[in-house]
Amino acid sequence: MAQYVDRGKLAQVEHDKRLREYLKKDFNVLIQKQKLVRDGKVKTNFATLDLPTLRFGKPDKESLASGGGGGKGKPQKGGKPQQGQGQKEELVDVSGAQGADDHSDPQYVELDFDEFVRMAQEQLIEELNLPPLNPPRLSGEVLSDENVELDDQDRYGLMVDLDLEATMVESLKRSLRESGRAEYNVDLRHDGWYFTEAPVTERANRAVEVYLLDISGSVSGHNIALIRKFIFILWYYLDKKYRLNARRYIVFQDEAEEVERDAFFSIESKGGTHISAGLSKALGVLHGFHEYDKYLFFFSDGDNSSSDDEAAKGQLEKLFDAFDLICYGRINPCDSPISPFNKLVKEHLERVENLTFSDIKDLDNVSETVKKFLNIMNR
Amino acid sequence: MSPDRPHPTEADELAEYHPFIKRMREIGESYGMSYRDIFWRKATQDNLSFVASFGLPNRFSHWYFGGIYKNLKIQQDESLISILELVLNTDPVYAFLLEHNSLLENLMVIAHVYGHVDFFRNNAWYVKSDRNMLNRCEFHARTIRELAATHGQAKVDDMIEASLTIANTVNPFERDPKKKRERLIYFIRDHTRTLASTTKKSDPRHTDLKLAHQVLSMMCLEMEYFDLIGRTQIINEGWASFVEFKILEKVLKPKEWLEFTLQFSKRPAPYLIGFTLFNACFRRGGWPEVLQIRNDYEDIAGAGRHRHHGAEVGRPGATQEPAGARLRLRTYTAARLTVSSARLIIRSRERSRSSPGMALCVWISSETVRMVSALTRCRAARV
Repeated sequence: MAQYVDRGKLAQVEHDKRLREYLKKDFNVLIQKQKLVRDGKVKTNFATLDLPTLRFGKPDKESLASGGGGGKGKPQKGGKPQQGQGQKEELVDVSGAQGADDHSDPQYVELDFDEFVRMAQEQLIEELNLPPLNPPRLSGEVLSDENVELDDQDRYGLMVDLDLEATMVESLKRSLRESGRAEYNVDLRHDGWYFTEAPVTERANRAVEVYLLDISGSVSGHNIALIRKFIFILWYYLDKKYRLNARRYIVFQDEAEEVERDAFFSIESKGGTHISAGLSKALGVLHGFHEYDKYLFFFSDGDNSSSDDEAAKGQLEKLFDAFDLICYGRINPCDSPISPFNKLVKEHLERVENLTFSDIKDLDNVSETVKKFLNIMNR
Repeated sequence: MSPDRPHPTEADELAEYHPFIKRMREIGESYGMSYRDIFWRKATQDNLSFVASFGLPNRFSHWYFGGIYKNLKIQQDESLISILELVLNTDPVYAFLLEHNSLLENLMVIAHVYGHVDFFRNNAWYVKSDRNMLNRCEFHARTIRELAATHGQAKVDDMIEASLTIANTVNPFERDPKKKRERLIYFIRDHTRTLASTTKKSDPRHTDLKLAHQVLSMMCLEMEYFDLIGRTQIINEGWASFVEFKILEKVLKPKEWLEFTLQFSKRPAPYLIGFTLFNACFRRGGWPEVLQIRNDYEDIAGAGRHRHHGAEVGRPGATQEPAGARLRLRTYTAARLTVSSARLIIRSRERSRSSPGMALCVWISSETVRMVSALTRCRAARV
């Protein structure tokens, strides 16, 4: 029976390709949903991609309830009754499975969040004319659940109990992997020679991305769609550059809270704004990330509570040292006047190299923001 | 070939079922049933979803089936539905047992399959069905692959989509050629052939017309095969459920029997309505009567017999289009109803007395409610 499964899956792949085309048309509505992700899935607005099917006979609920079964029939468009319609069959449009008994309600199409992101990225890169990138060259490090934190001893000194045979094998595999000839998984614990070749120039090649979102009431509908699009495009480029991305999500209003990805994409706006709480939490989540590039993506309208301005200023200055790059997207759909916090950020902008600032108003604006960010990242 | 063999590749996996298979066959035969050879196969849920979505395991591949497959898989993963049994009307019959089912669940499936196989063999409407459909489908799938290589995948896909859209307009039992041509799929199939024969070979439309004719001819044959399954859904599933019930009565121990009745009560409407029909007939006339009904009738006629007390409505030889279309539709619609909506219909009984079709519908619904209530009482007693 194994061969059957493949045929089913192949047909499903074909179905999904078409589905993606349809979803692209529906994309802008979909991305504005407040609760975008539920249980790791994005629920779309339509049931399974189906063909309209014509067949004889009409499941007429009205006549079922009223019991009408005469031979005269109901008047058609134009007012003329069709003789004998009660006995005749009609062509009607019905949809449904052909091969299987289907006794259930139609299920709405659900996409894995990752699949949705890929689809969004394809759409946005095309729409904004952004440069598509090739996937990165395979590095010696391998994604795994057991990625070890390396200390200096790991980097410079051979392990005492080095297994020479295992080291040679793993080293050979790594060499093949790096030259692109075969995609082996390399067990770094046994590859004792890896870090002694060029320990100084070797980069950790990892990034921690912190997403900080103000949910105090300004983020909804159009704005949330823009932020999501911005994040998806960023992911496109960051995933190409980094093999190992740790992502942390923080939402804040009066208080800040670290949340899971699904919750971050299913927000509920409420409460006042205490930016210092969010910034402080962003510093807190960096604990333990020693060999990572650290990025902060911060989205807010900047309308901070006046009592919090001083505290926010202090936290902001701490952030400059803690993060390699801080990207502040000001949610500003109506060109509102600049708030004290935003003024403060603009002041820092001139002297702090790793800070970018951008108003998020429309999709073109998002594109500019991304380009600005990428320029700084590639310096 | 000795009957009821497991497929050669899976012989060992079914060892524990052989005594049950043998016994159930004997019980069925003692009631007057007869069977074709059956190949039993174990399958995973994915495999079953695949066969159920394509209709047959070696049918041509198309994105439309892929969508059904995906949908079935999602619904099964979320335990919204479960494919009860899968049996192919071929010779020999192929029947699938789900790998992760318990022994009791698979015994239910085996007994149920015996009901279907008996129905396939003995029901008059199934005489016309193509028992070589597996091979025919394989041939169609290969032809479609060849056509795709010649005309391009996109063109053939478009043609299949168009054919699937009108595929349900087939009627294998229509013998009047004039009336048959009123059916859209037959009309287009014949018309494309006529047009192809009148256009020059150099005309670019000639190849398109030939392609359309080829695809539609294949689609007609396949859909006529599936049409019969839809045409006999209630009576076929009802008979299978009835046989399952009667066979398992003799096979299961009291504790297993209780578990079985609980599961049985949760079956979808067509199963329960069909079962109710046969049970009512069995109470009246015993095995001879129910065996006769399974011989002669499809859905409408099966229900109609109860109403008309043995009138010759719906015998394949008696009328070309069995019973009235509206009656048929109501039976189907009733089959789709949940028990609660059936109750609502009973409340409107007074209004509906003027219509015989409606009265039948009400009768079916009330029988279902009665039976389901009895089973619910059984469940309540257990709790």
